[in-house]
Amino acid sequence: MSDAPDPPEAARARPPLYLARRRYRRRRMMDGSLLLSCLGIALFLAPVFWRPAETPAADTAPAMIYLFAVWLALIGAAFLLARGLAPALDEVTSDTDVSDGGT
Amino acid sequence: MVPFSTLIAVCLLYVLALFLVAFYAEKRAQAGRMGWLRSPLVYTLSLSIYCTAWTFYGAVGYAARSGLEFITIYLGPTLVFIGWWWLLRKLVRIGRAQRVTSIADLISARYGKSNTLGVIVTLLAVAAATPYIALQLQSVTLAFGAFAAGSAEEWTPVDPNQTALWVALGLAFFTILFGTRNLDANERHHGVVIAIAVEAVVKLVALLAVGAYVVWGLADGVGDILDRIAASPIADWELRPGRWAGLTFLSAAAILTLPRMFQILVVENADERHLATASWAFPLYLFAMSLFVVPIAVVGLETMPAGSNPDLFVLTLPLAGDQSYLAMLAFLGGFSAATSMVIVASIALATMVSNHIVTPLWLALRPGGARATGDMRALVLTFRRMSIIGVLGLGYVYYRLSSGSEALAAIGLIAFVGVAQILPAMLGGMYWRGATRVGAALGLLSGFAVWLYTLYLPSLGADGAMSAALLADGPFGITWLRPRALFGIGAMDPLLHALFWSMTLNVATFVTGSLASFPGPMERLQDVAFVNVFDQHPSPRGWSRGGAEAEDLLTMAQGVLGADEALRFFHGQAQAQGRDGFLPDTTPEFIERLERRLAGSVGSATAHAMVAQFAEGAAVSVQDLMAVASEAQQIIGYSSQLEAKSEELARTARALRDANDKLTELSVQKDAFLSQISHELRTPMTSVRAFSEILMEGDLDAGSRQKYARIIHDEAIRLTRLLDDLLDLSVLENRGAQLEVGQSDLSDLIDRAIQSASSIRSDRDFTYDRDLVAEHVVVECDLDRLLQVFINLITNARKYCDAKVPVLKIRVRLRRGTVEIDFVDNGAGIPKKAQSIIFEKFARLSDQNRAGGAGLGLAICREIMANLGGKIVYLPGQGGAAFRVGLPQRPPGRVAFNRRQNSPQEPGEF
Repeated sequence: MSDAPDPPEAARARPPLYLARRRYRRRRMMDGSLLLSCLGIALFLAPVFWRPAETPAADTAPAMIYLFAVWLALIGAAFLLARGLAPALDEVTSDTDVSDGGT
Repeated sequence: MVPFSTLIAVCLLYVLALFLVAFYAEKRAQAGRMGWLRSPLVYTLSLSIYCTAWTFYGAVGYAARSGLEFITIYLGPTLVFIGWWWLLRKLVRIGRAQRVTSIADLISARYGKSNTLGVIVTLLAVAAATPYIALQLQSVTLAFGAFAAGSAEEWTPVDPNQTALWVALGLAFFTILFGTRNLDANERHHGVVIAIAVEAVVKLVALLAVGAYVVWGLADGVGDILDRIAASPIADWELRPGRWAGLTFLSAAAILTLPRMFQILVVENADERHLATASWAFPLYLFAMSLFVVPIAVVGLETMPAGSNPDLFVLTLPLAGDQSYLAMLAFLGGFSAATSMVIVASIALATMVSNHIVTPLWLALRPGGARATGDMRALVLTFRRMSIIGVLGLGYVYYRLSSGSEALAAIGLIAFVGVAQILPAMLGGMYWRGATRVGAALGLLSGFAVWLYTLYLPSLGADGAMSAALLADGPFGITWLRPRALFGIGAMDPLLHALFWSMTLNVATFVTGSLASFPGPMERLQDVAFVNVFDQHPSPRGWSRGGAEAEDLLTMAQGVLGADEALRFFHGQAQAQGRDGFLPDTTPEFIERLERRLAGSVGSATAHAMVAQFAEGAAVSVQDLMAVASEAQQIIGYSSQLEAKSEELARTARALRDANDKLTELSVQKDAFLSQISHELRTPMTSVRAFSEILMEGDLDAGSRQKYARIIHDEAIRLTRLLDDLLDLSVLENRGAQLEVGQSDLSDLIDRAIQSASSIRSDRDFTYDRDLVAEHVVVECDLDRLLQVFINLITNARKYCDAKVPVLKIRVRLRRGTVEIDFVDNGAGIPKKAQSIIFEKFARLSDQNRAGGAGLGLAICREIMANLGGKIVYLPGQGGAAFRVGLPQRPPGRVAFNRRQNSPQEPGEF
């Protein structure tokens, strides 16, 4: 029952600047989740730049294969990310990761 | 060829199977065996209500008309789901933390629990969903029609209107049965969710089967299909960049804001971790649903006669190929898609209508306002049921009015644009603390208005809601305001035009309104609770002080949650505060928790208004918030530690204070009792002495002697009884009583108790309100002792119930091996101050003349129940004196010896 807060207690108030390996990986997975959406937007909007309507070629079939391939790849990546992030749901309850007890 | 009657039979069997599945799931959930009921798989499958009949049949039609554009409807949700960590996770967390009941409730809760916003969102959602429901009814009737047309039977009577009516009625019945079982929207609708998961499997399997039939049956494998696509009318992809991007955005918005999606995604979510699975599994489902759409469309265009409806290719291709079982599967798939959408949409809309429109109106209009007591539960459920019928009725009326019009085909996207208007207020509320109620209201209203004007009303057809002249020349001939060409820009696709202007105006007014207005204290509280939902720092409370009467709050809560649930909640909260009984201290924390609990049933705005009635003036102010904020800054380093300690101290202090109060009260009571007992002993003694002196003098006639001897005898009996009671009590307290265990039906015991007590105040007409069926429970314990308790309670009720027409309600219930018997009379009840001491042996509430006894009855009851391994408690807030006797149905192995610490008096001490 000390009057002043313990030093580690005070340090915990600020999010740590450097993270241990496992948590570092988690952080990058969170980034990956956001970037995957951005990548998805870019890839799905790519046909806009092909201007398929202006070319005489029959491009429905190849475009379909392209779209479905991108789609499947995104699902695969989302699966991997979800596997990495699901355990984090239990431990990390804060975006700022205040509650870390170290590794 | 399958006869049409067989189709009807299969359809009915399918519906029956769904009923059974839903019923089984409800049963399992009630028994507490959730298991796979709450698995991520079921969650993912239930999300598939996104794929309605519009996508099941319509996607192929869409592809046949515009090539690959249909796929945007699935790409948007895919993008939202793979980025789940950043958006959906937060949304679900907020939904659970605030016990949100619908999307209207989310918006209302975020902006200071404003019911106005709830009403706007509700109206918007109903306006958007009505045509959508009509579309589902139309798809089912069209499918029936397609079957009937192909059927060999000439006589098949298919009146599409009648089919639609039957479908609507059947859906209303199912939805009411499984969607309004419980009031709390946060208690999940397990039956509905499971039925929808089953339907999701059926529609996926059906579409995949038709796809496989087309690719490997009608065509010659994948290579052949690609060749056929290249040779088809949709070989060249007419990509319209604006629509491609716009529709992708629109579908991404819709997956978040469609009321039915919100219902499944957030309200029915049982576990955040399910999102992780759904993040890839739901896109995979959408992928599988759209995989065969283009092949089916291409083969349909190629082989079906010109002019046949491409929307029905899924059904007509197998029919034309004489694959009647496949066609039937396809029909069931479409049927599943339509019914599951209608069920969830009507539950979601009914919750919104009842929570934001009907209940607040009713609360405002009834005499006494929110303070009036009474059971609201049945009423709100009735509101909800009527709303379901209303929503489905609107859908049916819309179907009848627009029947046969081509407008329905586009209605799915029109509805999407409508609900997308909620998106700015929703995202702004989740990520921007500066978003205010004024801004949200302005944004929603302007978006709603532009949507109505530029898309919804024109979609009803020329001369439907708008005259052809208005459409062509604008109102009053102002061409700048033409509904489909605002500001004279007419080259845009009408859908994009509406989407662009409504969203632009919506966001612009939302942001401007937010920047220009100042949020109230409740809004500021809620913006922190939403934006920083993952922060663990304690946030300031919505109530600056408590002070409401706990018993009033309990009475109100019972009206909303039901008596059992409310008592359990209050008991749990009281225990958390370290108190016995059912009435916790009304601290701000407690009031906050209670409000949140109520919000799960009636929505945050109504819950807040109801609680505010009792805690007037206690709502937090801006000054309170500022004070809390600066204090919080200072103590942030060690606040949590201190808080834990102070909470513990507060708990201890409360317990001590309670104990002290009780001791003081007891000491006063004890003094009173001592004088009472001396008085009780002395009065008979005096008369015994006096009359025996008279007798000793002799010289009396036989009659008088007889009389005096009788008096002496009666007084001696009274003394003996008093001493017996005291002795009995002391034996019971030392757990020295011999228990003679026997078995009996509770109903018989209660009969006997009523019989024995009937002599008390027999001049009054005393009514017993019993539930004889529920009373037939066999109990095993010392029956004489239990009977003694019953007699005592009934006698007390007969003695003290001061109602003009006294009624004693007796209710028996079996819960988890414990028999609970409630005795509730309709008298004045026991004042709160006295409730904690009535079971003490010195306790006497009224003046002694009325009481007649020595105040030992309830103390004996308590000790008997403790000996039997059960307990007896007083239930506050039941509208009279109410006691609950709880008893294990079978005697426990050993009667527990946990003597209460506050009854250490030894016999003979008085």
